[in-house]
Amino acid sequence: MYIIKNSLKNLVRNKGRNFIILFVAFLTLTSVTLSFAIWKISDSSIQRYKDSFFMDATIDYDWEKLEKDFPPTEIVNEDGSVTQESSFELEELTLKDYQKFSHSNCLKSTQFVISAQFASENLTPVPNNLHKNQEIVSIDGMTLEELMKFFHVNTREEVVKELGGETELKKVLDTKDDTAGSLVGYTDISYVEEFVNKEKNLTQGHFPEKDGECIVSSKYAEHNKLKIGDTIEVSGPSKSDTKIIPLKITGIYEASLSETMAEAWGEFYGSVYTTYDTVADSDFHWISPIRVVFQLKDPDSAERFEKELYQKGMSEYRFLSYANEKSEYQKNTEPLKNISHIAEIFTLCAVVIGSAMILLISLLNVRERKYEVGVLRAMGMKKSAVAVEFVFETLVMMVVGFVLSILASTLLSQPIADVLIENLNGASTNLSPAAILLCGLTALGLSVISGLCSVFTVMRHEPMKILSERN
Amino acid sequence: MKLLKLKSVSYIYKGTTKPVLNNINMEFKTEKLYAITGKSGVGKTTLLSLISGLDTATEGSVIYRNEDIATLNRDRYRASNIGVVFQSYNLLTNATALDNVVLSMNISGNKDKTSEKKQMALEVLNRVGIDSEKAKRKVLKLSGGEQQRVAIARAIVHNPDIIIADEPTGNLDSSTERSIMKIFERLAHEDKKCVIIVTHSATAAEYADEVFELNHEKTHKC
Repeated sequence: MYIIKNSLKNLVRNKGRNFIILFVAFLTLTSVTLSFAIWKISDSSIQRYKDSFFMDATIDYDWEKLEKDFPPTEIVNEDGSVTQESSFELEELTLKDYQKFSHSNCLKSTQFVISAQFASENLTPVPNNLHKNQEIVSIDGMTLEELMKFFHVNTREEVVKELGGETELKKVLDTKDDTAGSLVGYTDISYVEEFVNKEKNLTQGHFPEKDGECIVSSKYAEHNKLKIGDTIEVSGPSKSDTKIIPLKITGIYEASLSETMAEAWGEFYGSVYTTYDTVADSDFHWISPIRVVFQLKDPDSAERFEKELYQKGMSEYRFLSYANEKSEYQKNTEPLKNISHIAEIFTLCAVVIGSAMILLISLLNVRERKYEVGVLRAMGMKKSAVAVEFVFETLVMMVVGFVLSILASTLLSQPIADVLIENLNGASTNLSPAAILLCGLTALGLSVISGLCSVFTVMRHEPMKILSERN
Repeated sequence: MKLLKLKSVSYIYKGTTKPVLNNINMEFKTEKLYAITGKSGVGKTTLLSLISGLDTATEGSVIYRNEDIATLNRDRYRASNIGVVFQSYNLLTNATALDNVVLSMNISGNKDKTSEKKQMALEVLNRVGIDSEKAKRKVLKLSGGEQQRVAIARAIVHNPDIIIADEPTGNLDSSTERSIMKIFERLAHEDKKCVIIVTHSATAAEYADEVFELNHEKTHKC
């Protein structure tokens, strides 16, 4: 116990020497803590920017490559005019394709908007006002013969051509003749263009918040005598779809459609909006992806993700198209990366220079300490007790240095970060536990360096030799 | 009572071939004041280092209470059984006189309360002529004679059997020299200690019960 008391007394007795050590330790620890804090603030600012930077990508046709590899053929019509007809046929990507593509480490998330027609025993489509005096003929559910008659053609190939592909024919032949609307499933309403463009606006209730909820148009609700809270029952469009899905109405929207839009079949039937999972898990046939947006983790992942898509079977006539520029990201993150890098180097320099200074001061102190060692040992104090006394003194100084540097760093980190990093994006400048830990470890390291000098002196020299040298 | 015996002690400094001490035989008893005299360089201070356990003999042995000190725990021996007054005092200069004396008690393993130890240290300092006010001064602010007294107080405060002093009056005026030597005399005759001093001073040697003259050839009692 007297060893500890003597250590504390020594700290006061040798205040000049100890003040220099404490000052160097304080400067070192504050530099280390501050530079580490700046380093981490820069990194977290980059990360926050990365998180807020949406690198949206969609899959598009590579028209240039298509036209180069499949030049359009010119057809001379009966009236002598010439039309160009594409000579390629590329299968549409299915929901399964997109789902397969979305399983990637390069992506932060994938936003889906998908659609499927639905049938219902109790619901009927809203008659289109523009065609109220005309008979509406739906081709859904027609037989091949009926389709040939409808299109005034004689062969199956001609029907395929009229419909735009073999898949379309299969779809029409398989579709029930009592489809009552289209079910649109989305992951995020901000990716449903008609709501973003304000062509449709929610006027009552709320958007679906969980699976099994939906919103319908006011016209559809009026026509089918529906209100918020009612549950509608829908089934898939295919003749083989038997599963019935109940959907609770949580909201009503108004559609302000242009005449052209109103003519579209989908709008004619009326769209019922629900969650993505409700539609994706419905087992309905003929679910079509309307819009699929891949959100990349960061711009650096773009190249890797595109490569991955080709490996997963995406056609070479498709490519990833980006909604925003990579250069914008680089412009905003490059200065922060530089600050982070400088702070990282500064942290290491502060540790090395601080340690070297403490080592130097400790070595210079050895002469003074050597005399103390000689006196104490000559009085009969054990080597270990002398070493403990000296190491304890160092530890106390480092603890004081640690506390002071944490206080100083807390006060200084905000203004320094403000000067260095103009746009902190709301990043916290509070000292992180990691910065405090690093400061503590550095203090411990400095204690070890300084302590080892003292211990080495204690262990190495015999008291008589020290005292005779001194005298 | 025989307390300390030097048996055929020789000492050669590292890197040299000529022994500074050669086949020394001496005996020291309690209640006596011994003076060791001799020319400079004959090994007086070296002899004190061997007796105080600060160094070990190259040959021969130093026997304390029938035990060779080479086999003892020499830290404990120095802390409890012997008190050394160095020629240049070797006090902790930044500490007070009182702290120096209390530290010696602590090192010797005294478990009394701090206040009791301080009281006892003050008493010992008073006995050697340092009053309470001076006891609380830093050593650097004391005169040479006062520092010498503090060194003596530090050497005797833990009640050792043997007190050795290297040129204890070397830097002092004759009046102070006499008062210091009276302290040693009292320690030997009243406190029943074995006091060994190394000195050049004839005045100091006069106080001794026995005087050993040391030279390179032999040691003899005067």
